[in-house]
Amino acid sequence: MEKTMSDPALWVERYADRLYAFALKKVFEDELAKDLVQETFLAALQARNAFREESAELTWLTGILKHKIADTFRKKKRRPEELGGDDFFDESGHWKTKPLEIGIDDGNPLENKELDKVLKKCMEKLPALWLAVFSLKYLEDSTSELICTSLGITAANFWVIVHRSKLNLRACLQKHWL
Amino acid sequence: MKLTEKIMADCKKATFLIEKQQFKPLTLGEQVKLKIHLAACSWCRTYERQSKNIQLLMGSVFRHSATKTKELDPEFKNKLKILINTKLENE
Repeated sequence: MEKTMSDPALWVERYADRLYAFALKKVFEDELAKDLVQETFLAALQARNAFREESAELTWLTGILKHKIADTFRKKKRRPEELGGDDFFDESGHWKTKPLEIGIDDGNPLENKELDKVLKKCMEKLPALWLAVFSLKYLEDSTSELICTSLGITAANFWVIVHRSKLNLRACLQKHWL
Repeated sequence: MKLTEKIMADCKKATFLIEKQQFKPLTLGEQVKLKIHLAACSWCRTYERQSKNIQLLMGSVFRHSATKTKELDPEFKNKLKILINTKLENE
């Protein structure tokens, strides 16, 4: 027999970095990406008798990871009380409170490292799925249609997510940067 | 007149269009609605300016984190190895 047999003792050395990089691109958050890699290995251990050796091991593991990521998107709804989309507008669609100036327009915001940090903190409060939408846009330059397909969401959902994400980020910056 | 009044009042819709615009071109109808609203609403003009800046910033945060740590730290890798080996031994 050729050595196509899977050897779990070598998985970490061989695949951990690549799986981690893959996860990080989708979920953005370091700790979450690590958890996903760990869960992938554990699930793979249990399922490895079902592993068909003709499919490459990395492809197989990546497949498991993709499932884990999809699960995360379905489940993960962090701090829903901070994310209510209709908290910003009354029934007629009017702002409940005036959006204040938050001083992100002074000078070049891209050169402001502190602002970067605060924004990153604010981004981490969003659900993983919402961040994934933006991550696909920025890192892979995907169109809205492609993003919908790869995350399994409808176009209507996509726009709601984008809208709510930005409203929440703006509000978070107003609270923590102003 | 009723339609214009509705457009004027609906900041939720206007901010939605402001976001949509940053992903793909608006339809002609949407462009007109947004223009009318923004002409009358300074709060949404503020929002639009800020939203575009946040969009730029988000791009830089994403790209920054993409170029940064692509590899797992050795400590975590060791933890994983131990975890896997323990599971294997217990089989």
